[in-house]
Amino acid sequence: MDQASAPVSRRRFLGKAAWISALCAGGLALVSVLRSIIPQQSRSGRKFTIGRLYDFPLNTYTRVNRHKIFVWRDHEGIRVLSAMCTHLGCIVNVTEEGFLCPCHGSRFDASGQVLAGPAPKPLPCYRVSLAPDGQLEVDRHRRIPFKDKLILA
Amino acid sequence: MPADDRPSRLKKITQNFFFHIHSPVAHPESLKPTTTFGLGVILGCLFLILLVTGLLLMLYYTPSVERAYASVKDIVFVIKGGRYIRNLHRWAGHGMVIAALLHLLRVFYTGSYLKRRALNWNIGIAMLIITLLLSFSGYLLPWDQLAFWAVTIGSNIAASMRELTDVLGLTAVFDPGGLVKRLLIGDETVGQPALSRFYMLHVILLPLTLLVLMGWHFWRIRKDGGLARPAGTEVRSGHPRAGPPARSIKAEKEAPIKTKDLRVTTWPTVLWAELALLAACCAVLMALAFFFDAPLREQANPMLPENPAKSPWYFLGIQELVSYSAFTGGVLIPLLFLVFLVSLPFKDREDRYAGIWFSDAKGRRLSIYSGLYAFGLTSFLLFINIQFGWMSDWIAGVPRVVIIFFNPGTLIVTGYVLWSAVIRYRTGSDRHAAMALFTCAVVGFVLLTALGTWFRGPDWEFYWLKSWWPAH
Repeated sequence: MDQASAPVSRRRFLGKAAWISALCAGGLALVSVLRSIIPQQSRSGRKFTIGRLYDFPLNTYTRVNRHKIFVWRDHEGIRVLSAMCTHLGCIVNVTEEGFLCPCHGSRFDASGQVLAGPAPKPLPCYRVSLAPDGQLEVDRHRRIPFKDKLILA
Repeated sequence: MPADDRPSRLKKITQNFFFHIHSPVAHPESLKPTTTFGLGVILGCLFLILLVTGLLLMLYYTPSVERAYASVKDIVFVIKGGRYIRNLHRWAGHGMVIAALLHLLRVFYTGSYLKRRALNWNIGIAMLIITLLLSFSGYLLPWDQLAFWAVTIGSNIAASMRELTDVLGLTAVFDPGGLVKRLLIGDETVGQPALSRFYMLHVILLPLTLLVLMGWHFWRIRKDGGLARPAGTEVRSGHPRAGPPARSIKAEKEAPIKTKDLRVTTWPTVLWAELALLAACCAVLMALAFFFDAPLREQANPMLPENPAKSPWYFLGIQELVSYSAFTGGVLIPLLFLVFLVSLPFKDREDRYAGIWFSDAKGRRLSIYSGLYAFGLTSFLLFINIQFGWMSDWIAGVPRVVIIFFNPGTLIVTGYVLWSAVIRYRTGSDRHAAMALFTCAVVGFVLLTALGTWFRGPDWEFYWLKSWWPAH
């Protein structure tokens, strides 16, 4: 009897079917279990309000500790810069030339561009908008170029 | 009085559940203190001490951001004996990292991965990594400034694959660094999810895995025929095979040579040695815990980085490399070293060197020269970097990708690999080339770790002495 026409015994067929269905069910269950260890993107902390325009002094960077940002206000409007170093996430400090990270000495100018050190990217700017109640609202997921700011003059 | 002949000594081991992890007999060569320095047994003892003290600490510790720091303070200042238990746990943890690194040196330099011991060597590598992860995950639990910033930096090192994907413009669609980081700390920054995950890793997953691997590691030693011994150390005296080969099986059987088993019985010789090591470990730890307190700083403040913010000491070499480039220091160089370690027993099969410290006279010389070469090269490049800065200080607007692949870290590694290639060419021996590379890596690790630990101050600037640090 040649191979193609050999009848498959009931035992073999049932054995194979059991294996395949067990592997499918087990694999799917495993995928759904393993998915739980990858955390959801946290929605909280994406958009947040930081107060009103007049809370911030003119022509200087004010650090908002709760959200790890710097807020710059001048006569034209307002701009928000991240305070987290793009190297390893330490909080940068304001210096005369701009910002300095205490962890590995990355230096940034006042517009967040990297001057020296291991930081690979400039400090990002976040989009600011005016909420209906007059509060300033920052969106951490919307990055804008440094030259743009919320014009409120 | 019970009989004390050889068979009854063997029975002491084989008839006892707890003892029969041992082989009933051991070769005197394996018991010489200079063969192992007892490091494997010391690691086992330290692990035992860590389990006991860890269970006691778990009675009072609370893994929540609000309560963690206060509960550790309670352990130190309120619970009777709490400070002593925490000190024991801390120093045993550091001791385990040191002993594991020394054990790696011992096994490498005695060529104990040779003679088909590749599997057990790699189980050992896995155990070393788990030991480091255990120590690192325990670092976060006190939730003080030291813990918070060490883990912030550590988790961002885990994400440093991003530096490369950023350069390639892929991060938006393909972000393995970010995935590793989120798996590790469960969020973009260190917070409650990170604390929960680290707690689970530290008290359940990693110790359990280590325990299983320990059993496997010990079992493999026996399956591989005991510890690696130099050729010529025979099990039996006057073994027929030691003399001229017998002409036939019949001749061998009739050979009038009386043989005697040279191996000593595990009961009581080995067990006494192990008990002595356990006692010594306990004594040293008890003294350390009595005189030196485990550090506890002020409560974690996510807005105020420590300056300098340093990882645990065994990661400070990597942190120094990371200060050149996050990707090469945090991913590329550690990964290359790991590939070297894992593939070593498959590439180097010169079994004649098994069990001999530094292989032979040439190997001893070679290790010294390699050490001197690595010392010179590494300190020269570090000196250049500290004194004159690096490319972004010399030329404005150097592309990031150039610095990623051309920085003191990559140059040091390239120098090591070239040296090893020259040794391979000159000696024709994989074992000697491996010894050259490994020695270079050890010297580099020690130098970078020392630099990161003692000579890096605020803003990661170089200072000879801590007293020269600027006052805040």
